[in-house]
Amino acid sequence: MHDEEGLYRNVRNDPHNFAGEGADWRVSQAAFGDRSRQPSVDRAWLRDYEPRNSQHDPADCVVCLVAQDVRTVRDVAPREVDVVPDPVLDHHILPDNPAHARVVTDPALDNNSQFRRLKRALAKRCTVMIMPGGATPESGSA
Amino acid sequence: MNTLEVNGTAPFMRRRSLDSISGVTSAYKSGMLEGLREHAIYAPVGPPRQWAVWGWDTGGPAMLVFLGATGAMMVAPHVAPHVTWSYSTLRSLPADLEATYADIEALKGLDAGWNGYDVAAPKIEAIHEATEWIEQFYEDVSRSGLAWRKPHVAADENGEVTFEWWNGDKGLTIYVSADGSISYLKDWGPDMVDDMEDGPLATPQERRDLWVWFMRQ
Repeated sequence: MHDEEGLYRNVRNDPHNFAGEGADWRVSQAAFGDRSRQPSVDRAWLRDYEPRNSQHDPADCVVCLVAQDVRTVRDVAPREVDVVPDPVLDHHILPDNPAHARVVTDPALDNNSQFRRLKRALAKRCTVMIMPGGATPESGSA
Repeated sequence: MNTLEVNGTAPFMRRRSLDSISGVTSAYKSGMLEGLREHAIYAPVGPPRQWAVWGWDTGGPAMLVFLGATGAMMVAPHVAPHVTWSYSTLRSLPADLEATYADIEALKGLDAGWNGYDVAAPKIEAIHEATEWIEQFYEDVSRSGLAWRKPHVAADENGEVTFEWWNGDKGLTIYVSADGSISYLKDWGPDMVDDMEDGPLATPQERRDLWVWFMRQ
């Protein structure tokens, strides 16, 4: 995966995932929660660079990360943060998603403290592509 | 038989469905006892001073119990004869926390996977601990003469309750676990090493120091 690759993450339109209003509006770290400690993303080019293709619901928010930015997130231990392809195919529950990838660390995160920092870093680095409710940020209707 | 011992605090939380009760404003206290799904406490708005506790027995009908200001107990006989209520001290909290208590209460409605991914539902014990902790933190801040800011309330993947604040580039997150342990993460940039610090949070002084750091421009 190239450093320049864009990565979309669907953020459910739930008020617990967002805070503030107007210029103070932010994505909460809660939006990156995952018990696997490997947050899911979609590779943008495999979604035709259309963030709406990553929405689970038309009202969901979509944020974008850049692979290089994720990879420059670093931890205290000699640990690398990376994004790796993880296509979902023929899963017994999940729909097929060839674009699916995961934010991973090597070695794996082994405590809450490290994952809390990772979530916070991702929340700070992400850019909003679709606001909750389905509007694009430029439209100002979020 | 279920027993309710009212010995906690009475943070304000208006409950729309209860506002029609004359002479009282509604307030809410969560998680005081086992066996009741929910209950609320009404704070008085004027004489005669009267407290009331409202709750539902598990699977049973709604009940309304009035408590006198002296602690004398008056139970409406038709509501819940199988429930015994006792009373100690009640006190009220500032309205500053009203919305926050509502946000904490709303966590009870979240199921596992609420954020669309593999996350646990918020743990009821963590919700109760968070209710107590935010009151404590608010009092610490108020005693220090510092301004209060409403937190963003959410939960993490383990069902712990989180309080988040932002102040420019600064961020502060508090994690409240089901066993009552509290930890913090403060950040002033995106770098996980150079721009973040975390640790346990226990004493009033630690809480005040953290808020002073957060509020400083």
